[in-house]
Amino acid sequence: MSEALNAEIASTYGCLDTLSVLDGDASHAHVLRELARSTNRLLEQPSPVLNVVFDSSTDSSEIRAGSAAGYLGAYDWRPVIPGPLLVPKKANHGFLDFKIIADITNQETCTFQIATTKTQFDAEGDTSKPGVIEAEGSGSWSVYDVEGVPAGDGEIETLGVFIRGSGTGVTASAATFGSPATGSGDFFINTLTGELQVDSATWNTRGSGNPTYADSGKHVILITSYTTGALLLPPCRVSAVTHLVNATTDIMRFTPPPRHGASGLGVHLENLGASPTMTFTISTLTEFRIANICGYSRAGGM
Amino acid sequence: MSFDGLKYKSASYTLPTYYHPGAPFQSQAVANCLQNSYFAGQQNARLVLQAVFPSPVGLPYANQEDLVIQSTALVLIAKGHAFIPENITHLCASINFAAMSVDGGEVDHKLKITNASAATLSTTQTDDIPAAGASRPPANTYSALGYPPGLANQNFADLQPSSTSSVSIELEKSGTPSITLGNLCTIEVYGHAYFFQTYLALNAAEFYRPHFVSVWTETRAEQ
Repeated sequence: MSEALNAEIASTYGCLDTLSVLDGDASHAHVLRELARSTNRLLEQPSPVLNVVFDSSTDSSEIRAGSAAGYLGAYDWRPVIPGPLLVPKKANHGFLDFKIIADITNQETCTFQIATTKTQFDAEGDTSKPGVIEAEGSGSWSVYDVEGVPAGDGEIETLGVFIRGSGTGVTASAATFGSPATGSGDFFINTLTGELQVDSATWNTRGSGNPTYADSGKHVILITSYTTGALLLPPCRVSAVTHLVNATTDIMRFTPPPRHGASGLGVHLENLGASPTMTFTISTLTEFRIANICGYSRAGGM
Repeated sequence: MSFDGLKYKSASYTLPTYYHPGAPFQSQAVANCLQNSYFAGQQNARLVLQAVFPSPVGLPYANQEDLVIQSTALVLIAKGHAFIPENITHLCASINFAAMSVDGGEVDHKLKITNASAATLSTTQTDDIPAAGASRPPANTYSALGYPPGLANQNFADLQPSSTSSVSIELEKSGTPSITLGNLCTIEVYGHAYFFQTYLALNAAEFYRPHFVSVWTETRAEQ
């Protein structure tokens, strides 16, 4: 009897014609079976849920306007598209399958995560959970699959598509952006205000006509132990090296890392060059670029 | 089971146990097939159009203003063609957007359909500009997906407060279509943010920035 409890699904729709249901003819099991197989197919067929395309040209002027490109730190989850996405879905489909076409720095990783009403966002990014994958870059367009994400039973589903980056470990070029890119001299960092001040730094500033550490968004400040090299703060993304305050070249502004607790206090660290305890380094993040995210719903899971 | 024309909320595969030659009650198979067919025709929303706008993820702060719309009147933000079959009752749109104003103000979204005979229908939805400060909308909307509100706010530090609006057009009422369907239609979505200055009877343009537009059809049964 187990066979009788497994749904049969037609490989093509429309096996029945009018000869099967002639007026006056008695119905029979074959007609019922084909009818069932065909309507089962209606329920079974995947339907498109999401299909978004971004500018994938390599023209450097377009790269900013219409592309989904960027750099993110290893703690830095971000929505690829701001706001939860409302998308249509077959109501009886309980799973979503996605394919993401992305170009990630060779041998570096990004983590993709797709949240639904039934698959909550996981801040840890545990890849054993559905909807979370770690994508290793190839330096060219590659396809990454996020399969079997459980979805709700409605005909409208709410999605969030998130990405988390990583660091490459490459120190930025002081020759290009200004000196120094690393050092253990006198410096002060304040994560409450988002400022790093380094004694005698000659960083390029915005408006000077030279590229700054903030232009691309791919640079982060790492504060590490002078002796052990251990990371003391989350990587802090450089947001501006401004032309303000009489063209000061020794102050760099960054996006403060998330603060924990209600007090909202930041961290204030001062390193003395005469007896250093810390090193600052302006490091480079992994680059990602997304060409397409498409998703289809699939039967099951209800 | 009675088939009363209402919308069917559930469907299940018709199993061989209902229709094998020895089954005692084969009408169950017919009923189940009918329900599944109605369900497939009614319950499933159909994708019509999705548009995505430049994301701030990889953009430096200096360029953010380039992506903002400031207009006293509605601006066309998404346009496309779609074949809308007959008996579809609603055309729905959801718009993720950011908006900012020092005066308060409102956001308008308009959804418009034009059929092959140039007949049109449209609906305009007005919402308040999302509150600034604690950036409530991202926190609330994302928490439904488990995205931590604190993190949402942190990561939206470079964005105006954002929110989601929904607007729909009733294409058919009581079985009578309001517009002739079954042809290739043009779908348009408009948006802008403004503050109405009562003393001047004029709109002042505020910052508005679309992120994502999703348009789909639904067939709703009248209760």
